[in-house]
Amino acid sequence: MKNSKAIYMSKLKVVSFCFFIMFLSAGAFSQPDSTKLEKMTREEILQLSQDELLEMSMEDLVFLAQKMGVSIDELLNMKTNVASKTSLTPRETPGIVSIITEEEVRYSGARDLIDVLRLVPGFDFGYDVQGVIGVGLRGNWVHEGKILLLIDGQQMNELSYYNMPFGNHIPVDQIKRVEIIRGPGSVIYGGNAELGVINIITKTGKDISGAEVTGTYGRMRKSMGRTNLGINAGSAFKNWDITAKGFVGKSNRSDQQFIEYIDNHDNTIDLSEGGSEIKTQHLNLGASNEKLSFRLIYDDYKTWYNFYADSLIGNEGIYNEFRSILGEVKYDLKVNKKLSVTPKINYKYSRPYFEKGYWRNFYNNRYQGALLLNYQLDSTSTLVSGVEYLYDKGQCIGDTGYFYSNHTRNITIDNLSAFIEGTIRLNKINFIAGFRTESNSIYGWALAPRIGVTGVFNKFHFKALFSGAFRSPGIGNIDVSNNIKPEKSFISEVEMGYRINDNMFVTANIYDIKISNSITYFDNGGWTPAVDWGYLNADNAGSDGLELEFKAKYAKGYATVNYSFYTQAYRKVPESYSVPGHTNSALGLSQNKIGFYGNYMPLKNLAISPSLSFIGKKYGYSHVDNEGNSVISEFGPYCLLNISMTYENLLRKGLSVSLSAFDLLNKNPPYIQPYNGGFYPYPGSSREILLKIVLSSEFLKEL
Amino acid sequence: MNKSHFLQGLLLLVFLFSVTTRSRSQDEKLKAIFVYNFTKYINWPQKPGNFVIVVLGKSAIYTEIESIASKKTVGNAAIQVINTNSPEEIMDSHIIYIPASKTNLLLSILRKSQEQHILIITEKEGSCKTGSCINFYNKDGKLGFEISKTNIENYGLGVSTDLLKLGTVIKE
Repeated sequence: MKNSKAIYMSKLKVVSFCFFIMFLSAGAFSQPDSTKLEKMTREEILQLSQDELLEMSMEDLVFLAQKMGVSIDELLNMKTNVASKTSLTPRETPGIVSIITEEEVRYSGARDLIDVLRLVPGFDFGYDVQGVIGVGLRGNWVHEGKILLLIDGQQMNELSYYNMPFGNHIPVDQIKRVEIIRGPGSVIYGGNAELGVINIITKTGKDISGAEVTGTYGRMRKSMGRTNLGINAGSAFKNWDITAKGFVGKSNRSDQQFIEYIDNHDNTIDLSEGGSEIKTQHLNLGASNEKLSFRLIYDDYKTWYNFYADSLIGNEGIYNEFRSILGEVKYDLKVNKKLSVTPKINYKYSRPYFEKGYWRNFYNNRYQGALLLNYQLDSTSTLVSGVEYLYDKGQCIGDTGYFYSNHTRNITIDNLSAFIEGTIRLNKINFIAGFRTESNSIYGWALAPRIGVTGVFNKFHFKALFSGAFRSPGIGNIDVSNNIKPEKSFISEVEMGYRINDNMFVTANIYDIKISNSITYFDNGGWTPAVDWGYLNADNAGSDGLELEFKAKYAKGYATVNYSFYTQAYRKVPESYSVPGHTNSALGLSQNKIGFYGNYMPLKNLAISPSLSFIGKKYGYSHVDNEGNSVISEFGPYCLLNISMTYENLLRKGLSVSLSAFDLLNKNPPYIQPYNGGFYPYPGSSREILLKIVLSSEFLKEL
Repeated sequence: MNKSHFLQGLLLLVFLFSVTTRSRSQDEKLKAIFVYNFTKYINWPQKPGNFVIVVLGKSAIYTEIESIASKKTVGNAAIQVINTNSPEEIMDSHIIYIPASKTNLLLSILRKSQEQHILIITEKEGSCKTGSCINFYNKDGKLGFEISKTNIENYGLGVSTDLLKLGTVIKE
């Protein structure tokens, strides 16, 4: 009782502190507001209508025409909401963020989101189970519900473990921009964003203005890589922006040999003869006007695997299927010039890890409602707050299944959360403070406070951010756990950046991630769920590291070079994730990564875009010895070299053709399991040659 | 028909029914607005009738200027926009716009337009040195214009010093 009172008092202090900062700003400080034109981004200038331009003075037109030019400011002045509910530039926003534009995705020839994220500092990929590839970030295996993937604001992570499978999954040809927080996001997004957020914004109807069809064919050395078809259609019609974007894809993960070991039994599978197929269907429908918006996403992702089933069950193989349906209705109500209120309701159906014929399949339904308030106190201060309620119900499919933890056919979760965040701009410095708190019917309370200072002084900027974050256990975790609690972390980050000139920018940051109550999978070889295997709150975890990035942008092209490094030397990591004798390194995730991607346009319509990832050595379980013990080996380092050539408006406007080669050096980097889960590294693809053809409605118009 | 084929068919239908136009390039839009704004800073001797702008050859700027002409006037005169491939049709115009693809016609137009009080606007580097009055350039995507006071005055036109301040003045 005394303890709960202390927690209550501590929360009260945080609330009081936030309110103190809000009201301190309410009039005591002000700064001269720069003109609207100076704040306009290149994108906004490009969207100005003829009538709007005709109203401008000649001086303003000259200013805009110059600002329309290619400069690094295009990126630096872009407004983002990914790390804060208040629109801020990447240099101001309270997060360590990366932004990848549509142009960068398109010219890089990216096959899927793995290719896009490999360009970003700190990202790495590993093998989970059942044919699923997951993501690691800053030396942590964040695949397990610690990184949130959003598409147009919809939380795409499945609802059992909050995982997200990668590989020919999310259609890259729908992307307008990818905004990434390489750090915590719980204060804004809750318990699936403990260590990162990937926010995908897709093309609007105005962007598409008609339709475009994308056909992709990729060939690895020994088998087909992928055959994809995507169609984007959309239009701005009166006050409405309407889009329909669809994608169907078939691909093979690898054409290499895969060796498994289960119970001392080796089994080699030649994946060039099948066994790594992926089938994807993705549909994204949207309609919005100034106030009202609708979103409906259907996502179905099947990945074939035959190794585990082969050994234990004797099956030929099976599809592991992830299906989600997400819907949202949102209304932005501007009460007055200062206050806007946004009610929204969401529905999500999630049926992850579904295997036909399995006796214990289950699906989840989520019903969610939220009310968000945005209050502009004055020109320098914003207060954002909100309450969200969600109800999750996990339900067994068929007559045979039941949940281990309660021996019934369903598990339900009620979760009520509230957040508040204030942003105050004092001259050139922004102060951001806020917190999110959740009350959950299964695991009780969780809290994510954040305080940050960011400042932009002409060419120089800095950020100092201190965030609490948490990872909520999902229904799949609760199913095989006794009293599982949220994983908690505290992350400190400092970033500094310098705009070298109109075309160049450099940034550097360091971070410290301290995780407690780490949600960890355990398996002691027995058969009783939650006793012999399942999830528990284990030791501490985390990492420390640094990230550097240089960017240059010119009319003829652009280039980005980055380096990232982490160490776990200062953290006590659960045994399952650690490498004996190499305390610096996490299992399966490289400590060092150098990334480069660039673009050169020798002709107006021709883009040549090389990219390179140098991945340092990794450690992973490679085989079992004669006594049946798993053995750790060193893998790599290796260098992934890719090149893509895109010719736009070929023959006539509206036809674009790309020819790309991925892994030119044919290094076949494997996906290593970043925990002791009993699998050899899963082979990646060999060199893949890719042909992509994009046909837009402009092509038909010209006929 | 399985679900995959149904989805493919649905997507194809959406495509076929949604053909609309893309917005024209902002560069051409801005150039057209600059052309209109130049009329506020350049003095032509009184000519009766419409204010005539000739655009040589196929260029997106023609439709942009035509759109402005439907909304604006120059003084009290309506704007008439002529699109032609023939330099012969330029004689009674106030402005001749020569897109980059038609720069080879610049010298013959210069010969024909002497004493005609015509403002010649080009979009090819170095054109002010060969007689153009105003030349658009694009450096790293930044749109700007060069202006030759000498050439403008040689065509019997006047130019405001305010316009000279806004462009890059090319001196002989």
